[in-house]
Amino acid sequence: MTSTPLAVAGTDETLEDVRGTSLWQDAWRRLKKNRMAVFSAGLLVVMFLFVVAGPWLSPYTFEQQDLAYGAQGPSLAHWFGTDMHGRDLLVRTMHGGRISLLVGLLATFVSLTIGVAYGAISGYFGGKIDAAMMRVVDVLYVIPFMFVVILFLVLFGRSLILLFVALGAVSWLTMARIVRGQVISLKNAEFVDAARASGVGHLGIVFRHLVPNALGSIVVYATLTIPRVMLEEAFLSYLGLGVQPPAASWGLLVADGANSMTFLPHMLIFPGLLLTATLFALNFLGDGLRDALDPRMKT
Amino acid sequence: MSEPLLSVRNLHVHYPTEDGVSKAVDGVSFDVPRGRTLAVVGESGSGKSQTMYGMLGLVPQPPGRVFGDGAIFEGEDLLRMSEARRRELRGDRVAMIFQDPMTALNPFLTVERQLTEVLQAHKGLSRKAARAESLEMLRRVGIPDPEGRIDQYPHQFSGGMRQRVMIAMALLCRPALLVADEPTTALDPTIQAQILELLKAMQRELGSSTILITHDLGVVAGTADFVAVMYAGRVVERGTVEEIFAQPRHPYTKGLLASVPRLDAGQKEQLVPIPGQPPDPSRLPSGCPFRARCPEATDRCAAAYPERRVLSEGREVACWAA
Amino acid sequence: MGAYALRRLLGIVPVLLVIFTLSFVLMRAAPGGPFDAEKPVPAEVKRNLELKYHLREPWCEARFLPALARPDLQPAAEKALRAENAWASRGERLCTGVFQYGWLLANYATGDFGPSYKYKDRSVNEFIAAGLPVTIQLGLVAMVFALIIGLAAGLVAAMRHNAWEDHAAMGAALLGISIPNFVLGPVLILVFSLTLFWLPPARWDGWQYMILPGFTLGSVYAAYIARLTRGGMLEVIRQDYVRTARAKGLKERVVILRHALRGGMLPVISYLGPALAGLFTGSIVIERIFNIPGMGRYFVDAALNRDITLAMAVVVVDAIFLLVANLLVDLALGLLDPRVRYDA
Repeated sequence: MTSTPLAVAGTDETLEDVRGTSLWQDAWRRLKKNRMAVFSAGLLVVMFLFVVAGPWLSPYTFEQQDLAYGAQGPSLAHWFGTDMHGRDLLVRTMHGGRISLLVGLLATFVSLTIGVAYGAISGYFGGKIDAAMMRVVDVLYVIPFMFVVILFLVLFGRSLILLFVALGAVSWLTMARIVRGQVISLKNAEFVDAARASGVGHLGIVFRHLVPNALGSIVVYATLTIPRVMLEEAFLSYLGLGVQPPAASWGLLVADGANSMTFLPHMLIFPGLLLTATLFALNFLGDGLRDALDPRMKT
Repeated sequence: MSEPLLSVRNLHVHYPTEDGVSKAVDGVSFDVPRGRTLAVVGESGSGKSQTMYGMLGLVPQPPGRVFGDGAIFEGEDLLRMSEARRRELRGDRVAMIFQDPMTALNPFLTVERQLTEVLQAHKGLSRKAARAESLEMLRRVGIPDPEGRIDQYPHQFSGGMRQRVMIAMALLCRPALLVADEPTTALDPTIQAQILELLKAMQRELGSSTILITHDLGVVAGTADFVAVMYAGRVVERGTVEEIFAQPRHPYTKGLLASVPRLDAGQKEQLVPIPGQPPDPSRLPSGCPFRARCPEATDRCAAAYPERRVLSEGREVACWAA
Repeated sequence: MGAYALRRLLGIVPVLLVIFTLSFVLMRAAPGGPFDAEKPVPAEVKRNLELKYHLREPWCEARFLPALARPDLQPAAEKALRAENAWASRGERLCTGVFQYGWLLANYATGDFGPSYKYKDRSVNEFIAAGLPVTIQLGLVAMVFALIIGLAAGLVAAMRHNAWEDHAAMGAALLGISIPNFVLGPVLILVFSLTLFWLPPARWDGWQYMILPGFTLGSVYAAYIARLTRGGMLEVIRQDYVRTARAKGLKERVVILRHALRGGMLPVISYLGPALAGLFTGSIVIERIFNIPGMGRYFVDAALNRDITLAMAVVVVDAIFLLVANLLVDLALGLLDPRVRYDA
């Protein structure tokens, strides 16, 4: 035998050379290599700054009307042009972005909370509880939610809170299924037995041990839910059921733009472009995260 | 001795990985004489299957890379011919059967479809004629009631029957060379013997040669004429079955034989497994890759890979200590 | 197989019932009725209309609050009456609600969706009969677009894995998912109708009218199908049986189309269920943008006009389609995968 201490069988390395990497470190490394994902993240940061800090830098407010400048294309005074009431489109787009992003994040948060809790509990307890809970999900899945949401908003008035709740309520179903799947595959692992043996109660196990281990899937799905929810809000606003004027959201701005696109195409193009770019970046980032955390899927 | 049916020289199969180049096959040479069986033996990861895939053009390039001095089969070099020509030979002159018939057969197609397409592609037969031939072959490999079963799907067969279907599929065009990659590993021991007998019988009937990949020395003893022992992507010892079993020269071969129960061993003799693990093909050590596990290793073994020494016709060993 | 289909078919009924009930509750709870937005109507006429729509049930009135049963009761007086007799009033409302539910359910079961709230001389069935075929046509065109473009792109991407074709196809797919259809639609109209004059911008009068809306509606699904096809094919190509097919010396085209495609398509087939659901929802916006007289547009108009009977009927019809479509998709999956079909 050679005299190298602690030789790893068959190679020249010693144990010091073989450094382990955690799942997160691996994922982070892979994510950084994905240039488009990094670019998307950068784009999102820029977009965020644009909508949050932008309005402070603008000489106009989003409701300020200046009818003398009504309905003009882009110019030096108004970089995105103006709408028919003479409102500066740039600042309105920034405001619209605030609302759209806010709605997206909040509704995703609602959906996450409900979905994770529901799925984790269902998966953990299993048996009849699980069967019943999943039956409910199955039935809810089939209901044409958008129709119900639309009806709700029309019949009961268009409040922003209702909007959040409705949007969040629509997307928690898939999150619940995903979390349930993860919990089921994790709940027989050893660390769960260890936790149980040290006296941790059911809820503690679910929320302090199982859920954190499912965090990967949760993060990925949440990142992909944000653009979906933003799209739904834009959709509802487009129909006139979401955000109400004079406030703006990107969906509302696109609706206005579509109505006047024959002679004011800039009203459609600018908000449309920003909305699409943001959704694209979010989707790309979500995909990148998924590839980074589960490389098996890629090749 | 007449020309070998297949003569492989210095074959390499490399894959790029995050850690460098993984040398799955690192310079392999062997011959397959006509009408005989060559057993290729080694642990999993030794490169046995990759050698066959590389030789037959089943390694996707990119990302893999297959190169070598030559793989002469019936006068043509498999490594230098066009992919179209290789495709003509695959399934027709050279056929392969795989380890797990459950995954190796297409679950979405009937057995009939998977059999007839071979004859249609290589012999230009009509569907009807191909079906008739397939039925006959199923009968020959021992499938009862072929007419009733040929239109069924693979999952409706038992493991042993599925393997017979694979063998039938491989032999339809009467190949000159059959490559059997661990054909019995996934089967029950009782079925294993039957399948091996079937392979031997078919080989006799067709006058073909067989390359039998296995890690089971018992199988080697019963079926092979020649043996090539592989480790870490290279052939470390070659010879006839008698030579290898009676006088193994390479410490790895000796270790393999010592770890297998033998009928002629005494009661008191212990089975001695080889300690350690085979090396990672992307991180091969300098010198002989077996030295970390070798009871006969010397300093020379760390310095350089052992040269291949020809002891006699077809008898080689690559070891400083042998 | 047949037994399974039958069981599933029967299983649709309770789900439909749930949806029906939910919609009904929504309808009852909503403020407003068939008359609010219009000029005030004489009390007798109002009462007759209410009786017609089963918003009033004489039996319930007699049982709970007989004072309501006067044909000349004015709205103000009725309000006061209800305020004074709060519990009796609630009882009467509940009772009427139950009767209305029963009546509506019986009607729905026979396919009669009742009269429209807004257009009092038209029945909801007329609207559905007019709008449904159009929406179905639109949906089919969109699905055909989606399948052709999606499958082709996904196949190319899988075959040229990691090459520029792969990246281009997947980039386009991601774009397809990210562009909202109400952005894409107007942009396409702007370019192809108003600038290039190649295609008509609106209405539904011939096959040329189907191109832009069909493409707009189908683009998202083409994107998802492309991604799923690529993923499915990449997964399948690694399978042992594809290696066997190559080892048999079959042409690459045969390997892909005969051996790999079947397994690779499965995720796409599974996706068709949710895709059809989305098509219905998407048609709401598309029909608006392109001014297409389909069910989606009727639905939005109905909701905005408080034409509750029409809105409710649309929801139920949509649900029926969805459930049946999901059933068909499940059956198709069973048929395509022989392991499921012949369970030993």
